[in-house]
Amino acid sequence: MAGLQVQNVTVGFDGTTVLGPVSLHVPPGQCAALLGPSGCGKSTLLSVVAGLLAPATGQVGLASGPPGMVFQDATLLGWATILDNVALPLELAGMDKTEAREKALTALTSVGLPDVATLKPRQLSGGMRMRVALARALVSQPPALLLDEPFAAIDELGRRALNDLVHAVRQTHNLPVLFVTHSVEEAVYLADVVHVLSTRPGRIIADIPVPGNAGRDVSFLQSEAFVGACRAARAALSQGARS
Amino acid sequence: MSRARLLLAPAAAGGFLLLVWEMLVRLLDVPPVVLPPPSAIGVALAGKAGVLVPAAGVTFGLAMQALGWSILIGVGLALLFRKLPLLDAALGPYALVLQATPIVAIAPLVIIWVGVENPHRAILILAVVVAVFPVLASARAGLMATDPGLARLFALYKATGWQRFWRLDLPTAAPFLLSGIKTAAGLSLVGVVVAEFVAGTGSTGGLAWRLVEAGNRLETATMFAALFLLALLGLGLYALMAWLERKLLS
Repeated sequence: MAGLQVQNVTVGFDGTTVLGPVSLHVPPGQCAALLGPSGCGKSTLLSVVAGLLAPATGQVGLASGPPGMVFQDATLLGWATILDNVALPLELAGMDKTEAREKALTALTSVGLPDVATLKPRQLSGGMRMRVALARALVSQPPALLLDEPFAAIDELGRRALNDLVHAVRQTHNLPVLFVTHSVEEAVYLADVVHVLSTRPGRIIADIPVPGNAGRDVSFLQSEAFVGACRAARAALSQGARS
Repeated sequence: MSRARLLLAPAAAGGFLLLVWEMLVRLLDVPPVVLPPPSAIGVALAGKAGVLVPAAGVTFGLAMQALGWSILIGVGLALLFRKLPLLDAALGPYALVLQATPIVAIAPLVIIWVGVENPHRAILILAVVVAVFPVLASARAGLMATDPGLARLFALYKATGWQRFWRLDLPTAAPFLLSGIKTAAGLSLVGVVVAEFVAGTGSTGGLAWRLVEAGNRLETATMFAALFLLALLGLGLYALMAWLERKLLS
């Protein structure tokens, strides 16, 4: 099956199950949000999908190649230029430096930052650094995009702009996107489906579909679809916290 | 404060102090063997330049060799300790013991071990013993300072061990390491000078030996001239390291 497939994944540390079993499927061009209380295993699931953590049971189905991932911090190399930061995944994969830099510049342009290539990360704002991290995640044309609460530290306006960018990116790249967030509004705004997880060990206790897939703008924030999905997600979160 | 003033202020203060020194020594009629006036030191420096300057070159050369070996051994050990944490746990405390033991106390032993006919080697070993610790400590700290988030990023892209070392661990450790090397540069000079004193032989022809020689002849002005050159060497080494640090970290 195309896209991103998670089948009966569980994760355990020291004999204790901390996550799962979890199963979900994100088709290409679709975004799924993982919403749940702190410590329920959302980021752990993302690490399993990224191949950074081996599951105790179950498996992840994803086309070959590492997925693109944006972490909670921009995780940029402070000593390297923005262009070199974006080119890093390609160079680690063995691509010629010149070609990697050309592709990195294209990726930077696609996130609206064509003019910062020669700057260092410290010269950019938090929002711009996250855009760079997004460009780096996309530069190698990954089979999926994983976002681990990437915009938590960004101000409201910047966060909205980044959300719109993610929305545009998943459509243009036709990527399955798995997005971890603490924010109900952000989850509903970005996702086609919100998976709500219970407390540890995190299991999916509700799948909340968000109608109106095509359009994400200010009017969507006031629509019944948005408000209704937020209400349902909050109710599921409360139920998950009690479970 | 302007840059010119920042440079002129210490020069003017130094000049003033030398003037006061010269006047006091003359007014109080202090015997030159106890405290020579700066003018006499200047004369000694000019007169003995043919001996003192090459001796400074020898000391500087030995200090640079000691620094080079310290960097090689310190970084090598830090890499080994990172690879083998058990070795780190086992040998780490002994590195501290070595650091805490005064070099003067172990110098006679080292001289016996390498043989009195090899003072050059003994001096080098003693200076390395002094200078290696800051390199080892800083390289060890630097190699452990890698950002876990960046380590995850490199793991995500399946970077090889070499790629990670070259592109992540080494640049992260560089500021720590350069700071340690800067300290080690000064210590390597101290180590060479102390070792030359303890070795008590003029066969290496270093500046410290010239200092001892001048002391034995009660040529106090020459001693001050040698001290002046030693201070200049220290300053030069520090400036060189600071420049290197700026250059590499810019």
